[in-house]
Amino acid sequence: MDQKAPRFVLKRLAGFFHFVFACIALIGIGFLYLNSNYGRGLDWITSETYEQSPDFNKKVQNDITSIFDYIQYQEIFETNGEVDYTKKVLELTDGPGGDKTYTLNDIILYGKSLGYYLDENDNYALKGGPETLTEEESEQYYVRWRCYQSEEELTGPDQSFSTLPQLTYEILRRYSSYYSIYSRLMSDFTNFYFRIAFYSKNSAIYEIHTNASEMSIDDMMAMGKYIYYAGDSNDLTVRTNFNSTFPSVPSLMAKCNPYTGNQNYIIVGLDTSYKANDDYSRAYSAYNSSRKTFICGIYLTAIGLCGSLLTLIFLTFVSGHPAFRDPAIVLYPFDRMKTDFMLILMGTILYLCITFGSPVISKLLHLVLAEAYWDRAQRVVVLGAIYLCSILTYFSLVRRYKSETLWSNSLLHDLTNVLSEHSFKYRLTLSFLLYLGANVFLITAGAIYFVKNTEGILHSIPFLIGCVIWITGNLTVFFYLYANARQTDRIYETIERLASGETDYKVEVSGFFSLESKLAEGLNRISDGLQTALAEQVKSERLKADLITNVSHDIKTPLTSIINYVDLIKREHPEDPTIQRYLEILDQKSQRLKTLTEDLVEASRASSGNIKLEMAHIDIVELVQQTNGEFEEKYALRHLDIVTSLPNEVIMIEADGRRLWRVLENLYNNAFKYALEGTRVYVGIEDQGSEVVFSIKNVSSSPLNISPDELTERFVRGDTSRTTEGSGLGLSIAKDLTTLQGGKFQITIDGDLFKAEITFPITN
Amino acid sequence: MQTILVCDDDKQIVEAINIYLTGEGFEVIKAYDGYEALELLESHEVNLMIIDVMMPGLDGIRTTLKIRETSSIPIIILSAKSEDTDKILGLNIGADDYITKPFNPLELVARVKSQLRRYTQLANLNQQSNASIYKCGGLQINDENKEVTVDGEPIKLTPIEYNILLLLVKNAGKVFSIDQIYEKIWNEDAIGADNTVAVHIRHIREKIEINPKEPRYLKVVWGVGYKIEKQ
Repeated sequence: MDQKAPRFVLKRLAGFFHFVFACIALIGIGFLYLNSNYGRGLDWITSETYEQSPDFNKKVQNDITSIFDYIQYQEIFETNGEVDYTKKVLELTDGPGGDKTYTLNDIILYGKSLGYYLDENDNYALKGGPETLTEEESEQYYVRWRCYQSEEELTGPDQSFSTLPQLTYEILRRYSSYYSIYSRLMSDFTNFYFRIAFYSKNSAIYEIHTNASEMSIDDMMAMGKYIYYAGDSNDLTVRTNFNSTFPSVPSLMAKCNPYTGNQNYIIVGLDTSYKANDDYSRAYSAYNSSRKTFICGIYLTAIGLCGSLLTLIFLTFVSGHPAFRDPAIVLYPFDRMKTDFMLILMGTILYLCITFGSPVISKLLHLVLAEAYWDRAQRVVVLGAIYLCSILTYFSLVRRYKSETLWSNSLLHDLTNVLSEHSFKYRLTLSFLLYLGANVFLITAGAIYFVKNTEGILHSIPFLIGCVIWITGNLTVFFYLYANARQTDRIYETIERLASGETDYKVEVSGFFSLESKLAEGLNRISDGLQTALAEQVKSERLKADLITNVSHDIKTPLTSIINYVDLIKREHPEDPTIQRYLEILDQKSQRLKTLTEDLVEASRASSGNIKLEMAHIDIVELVQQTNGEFEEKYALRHLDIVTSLPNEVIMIEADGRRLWRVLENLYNNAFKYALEGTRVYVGIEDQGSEVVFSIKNVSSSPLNISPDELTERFVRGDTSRTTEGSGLGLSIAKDLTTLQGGKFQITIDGDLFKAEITFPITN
Repeated sequence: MQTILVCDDDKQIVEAINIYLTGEGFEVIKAYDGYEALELLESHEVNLMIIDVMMPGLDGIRTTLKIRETSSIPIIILSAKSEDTDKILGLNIGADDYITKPFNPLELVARVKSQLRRYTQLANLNQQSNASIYKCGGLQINDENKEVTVDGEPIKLTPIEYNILLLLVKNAGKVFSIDQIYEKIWNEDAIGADNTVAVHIRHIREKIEINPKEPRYLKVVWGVGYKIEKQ
């Protein structure tokens, strides 16, 4: 309990701090959003002054346009530089003789009667106005003349007709605009200084508009920001240190120019020390403070995110553990739910919260919050719901992961278990039913949805999600089938290789899943068993060969004495013919015993493969020629003719020359021993492209009522009576040695014709 | 008279060898194990030694190694072990010849004589050197008087056999195929060469080798050709 307490407190504390940091991050993000420079990235924070900002340029552009507007409004509302309330501003007619003329004063009075007023606090903006118009007021008049619009500017005949309130509104709007510009740029203190001058051809006649008559051009150009335009588009002089050159200025100049010719200029200077407290200075300080807010927002966001991330990591580590360094995991009932069920449940809860819960909470918040904050409050509620649900889910997943129940305690896992643990038949049926069900459901749902919402189907999110699920599901099924087929292929390959004698072949079990992995393991066990059996067999063959070798050594010593003493007796030349005959038999049989022991050793070694081969490239034609040379005279003793047919070329094979000679020697000896005296022995080599076949044929002297396979078995001889010399091992040795060297050995018997064939692959 | 030490744990075999060698005019000293053989070597002047491998006490291989520390007399191993590896081992540790049991008495005697001749010849033939004399171990060809000797014994060869042998001895160590030999000796293209060369080679082997099946000089490289072992 002592350990538990601090852990408990620390955990709660971390949770609290996590919440606090998340709030900080949220506030920081709010700061970042609440900014007029939103959407401009981060460059402006470090490298920009207010005078470089787009806002500033826009403002200057506006003011320059305003100057020209003002010049025009002056003509409409002023006489000799003063506002002339008696100036005629409108002429209407409602029929012949019904002409009416309105002065500015008339319009202002009429406007006041309609409820219009100029708001001094809001830069003399036009406000108020009638809510409904009487029938009399909405009467249409033909407009003969209006101060603000020439006949040519009208876009259609219907514009010639209008109601009096409408016209009043339009005139008053311009009047308000005029007054606003006048007060902002002319009467009040301002940081914005301008001078526009138009000169006629006669230099005495000119027109100057300025709000700083005492300033010279040079004075203005000495200010923080200035722009100077002179001439018209044909001959333009521009000097400025603004970011923009305000390209609309020349056309505005030309429009306002009362004279012909290009003797005119405009100079605008802006005092960037912002001495006057005008909207420039206000915008300047607002810009700077928004920058501060933004930086502050960045810091807050960063701190909040870092803090919440760190606390999240810490909580991730401690989550589920009841005490410090206690590896045990305590699961809440919530964590014992099936993982996928829990995910779906949380998703549903979140969905319900957002659709039903958040409007309710928002409505409640509407009771205590001002309307301006409603939207934000709504967002906070939604974000909060998402955040709360995700964090609950996240920690539950973390605890599941720690207790290793993330996958094992899930419906999907149960499903795969069901699928993988039953028989292939069961699995296939169940999988197919699931697949069929899912497909039928999704296709039906899609079809219904499609019929109901034919238009804009491709923009419908649920439909697209359904499509994605359907395609992904089908691809998954394909992938599963493909993986299954690949496993089957590998099992097939393994079986093939095992069956073809590659008993040490093992299949990589890690690539398999479900029931197939058991299949693969089983195959590996079979391979192991085969190998063990094979190793046992090889070992016993070796032991047998060693035994035979040792026995033969032991036989050879007494045999030596027998042979030697028989020979010694023979040297004594006994005269009795009976003794001589007996001696002859002794000599023969002891010699046979000698051959037998030697062949026995060789046969056992050859059949157990206990022979070190010295493989080399040899010419089989040369070998046969050499062998023929060795046997020619021997064959002559039994009147056997060797008939050779050799290709006149070199045929290279890979073999151990001495062992292959031994094979041929045995075959030639075999023919020598068993061929019918006075017949021919046919020896030939046939080049069959990739293989070369050596063959030796002879006519047996005794009937060969024995199968070819039996002939290559040990101690089997063509003559069952065993009267001839020979161990009965020659063909067996020849066959084993051939096989050891990678060749094929075949014997065919056709009546009395004995034929032995050796086949080797040709090497280049 | 030359003295031969015969060492084998089988007394009957020693006795048989004794009979054969005495018959050929050699003096035979008998030993029945390695230690005895070493003692006898100390006390007697021995010209050649025949020793078995598998013996109680000190076996033939170790005895041979001991003898080779002090002496260079010809040693013939006589063993029932007929594997290639056994032969190679025996010859590598310093034996001059290797005969397997059961042996042919005539072959044994021939090999003994051959070893003795070589041993004595090596001592006094070293000074002889002539441009037209080709030597290869105990095989010697004098191209001037067309004389061939093996361990001093003159051998009679036909002209073709002589030419083949001379070709091989001149190029000792090099393997000649049947076709190459045919072209060099007969000066004709070897088209459809028959067994002539192989038969000649066999004849030469029968004349110069003690055991033609296990030739010392004219070796058959099966499937490649023939060569004289460089010695």
